[in-house]
Amino acid sequence: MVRYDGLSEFVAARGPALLRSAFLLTGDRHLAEDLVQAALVKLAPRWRRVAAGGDPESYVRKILYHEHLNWWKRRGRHVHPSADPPEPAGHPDIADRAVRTILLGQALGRLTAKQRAMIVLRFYEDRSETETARLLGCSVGTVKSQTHRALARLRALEPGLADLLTDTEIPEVAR
Amino acid sequence: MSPRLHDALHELAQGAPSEVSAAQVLAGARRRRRVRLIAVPSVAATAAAAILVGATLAGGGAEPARPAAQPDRPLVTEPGKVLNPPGVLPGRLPSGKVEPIVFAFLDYCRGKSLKETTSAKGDCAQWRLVGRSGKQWRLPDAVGSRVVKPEDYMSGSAPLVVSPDGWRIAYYRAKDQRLVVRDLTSGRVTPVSARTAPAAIPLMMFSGDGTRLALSPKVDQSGRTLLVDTRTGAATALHAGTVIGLSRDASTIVQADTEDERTPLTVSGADGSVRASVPLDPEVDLRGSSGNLLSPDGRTLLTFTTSLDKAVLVDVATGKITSVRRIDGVGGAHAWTGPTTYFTTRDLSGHPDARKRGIPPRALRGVIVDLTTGKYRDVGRTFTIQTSQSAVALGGYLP
Repeated sequence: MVRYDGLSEFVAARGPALLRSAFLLTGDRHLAEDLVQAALVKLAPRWRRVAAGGDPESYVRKILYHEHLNWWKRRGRHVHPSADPPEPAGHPDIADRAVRTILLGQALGRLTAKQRAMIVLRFYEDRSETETARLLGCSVGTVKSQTHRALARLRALEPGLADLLTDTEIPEVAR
Repeated sequence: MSPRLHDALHELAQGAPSEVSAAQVLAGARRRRRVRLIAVPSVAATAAAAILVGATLAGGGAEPARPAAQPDRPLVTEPGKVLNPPGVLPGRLPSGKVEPIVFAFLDYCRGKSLKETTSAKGDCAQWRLVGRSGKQWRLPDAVGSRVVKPEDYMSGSAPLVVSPDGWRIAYYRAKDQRLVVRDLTSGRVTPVSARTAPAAIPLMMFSGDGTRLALSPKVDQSGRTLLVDTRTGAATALHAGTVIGLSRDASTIVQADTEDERTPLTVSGADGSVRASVPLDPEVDLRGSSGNLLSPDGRTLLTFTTSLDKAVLVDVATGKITSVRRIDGVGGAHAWTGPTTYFTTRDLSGHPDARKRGIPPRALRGVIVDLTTGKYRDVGRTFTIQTSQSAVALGGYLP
């Protein structure tokens, strides 16, 4: 057990937060659980070294995001997520917070994996562009362009969310 | 940052499960450790077996259709019904003539979680083909759902594509690990002469007339770009790059770097000779594009704006934008269907009580978009599958 000393406590303490990010990435409770569990299982062999470094959460989050992106790569272009929340008929009252949340979940589910990761890191976890780039292993320029594309696609997919997205523009890459 | 978007995401995240089982994590870690200790000799043995199979089955040329064994019964689905009701599997695809295929799918045995879809195997893990009449068969000789590697917790799949007229399908055959083209007018199966490793199955694209199949390595994989004659299996090497379009008879082939539009388009002939290298207008966005973007006459590329709400037509000879047209309601394209029309799909996924049923349905419908008006019209039936994970292919949209 020495190998995993303290891991259970870490899982209990930070598991829920990891699940929330994973849920936003996958849009599905089962997938979120699987994703977090997979990331933690990959963390486990390195636990002692990572815990000694003092910031195991950053480490496991990096695994989490990479697992998420790898999953989509492996599944190939022709595979589509089918765990999207249902599309409501007509145009619901966007002022209703619950409806808005459902629509946001639907629209997120139709972004690419990388675009979803950008939205979650930048606007849910409030990470800087530099932090986001470090976590995803890409350049700051990629973060800017992918975030811009993700926001543009959210607007296109669900015009009713415009209110949420009005102050999210990234001028450096707007064109 | 956007406080409103942050708040909305925060609300959405409240739907997440509330805890992770530390016991399961520890058990998973121990299991993973055990698997790692035995994985190396297992992988070596599998590789040796694969080499042996490859050596004994090497050879090309078309294989004649075998006499039909007692045919299995197809599954017939009424319009509007789910194509994969629980506990029911269609019969095997007959070895002779069938009918044009309009839809193909994998449902990973209807697994509800990644753990279940990863372990999908047996008849329910095979590709299923839906004909124009609504009859459905499974394709037992194709690789369908597969576990990518022993430790992988995600499932993968081997691709299948359907020709625009629905009379040919291309897929990865399980018994000899080769890409093959099956002619459904006769049942004749033609292996592609170039071999492909299971881990590097390329992207496949039929020409409009189904006589050619372009094979492009995926972005993160190495490999040659090839043009295959679907009647003989002979492969011609093309310039490196992703094939983004084939004219109707594949006499013109357009390739691009879909990750970097600054790379010029390469225009080639069916013999692989490069005819032109064409700089692309910087306003053109090819990232994320898929499908056959080249018009039947080989002169025009169909692309889209980032938000997918406008079709952008590009002259292949100059790389310049010739027209921008707003498209209502659908985004992306599978292939052109005429001088001013193209085929794509409309996503109808979701049902008001999908969550209550446990597995959300995925529903698609083919549409033909008219570039002169920007409007679309539905074609064929709606394809609905009950699944938490799926792979789909459409075809048969040309008469």
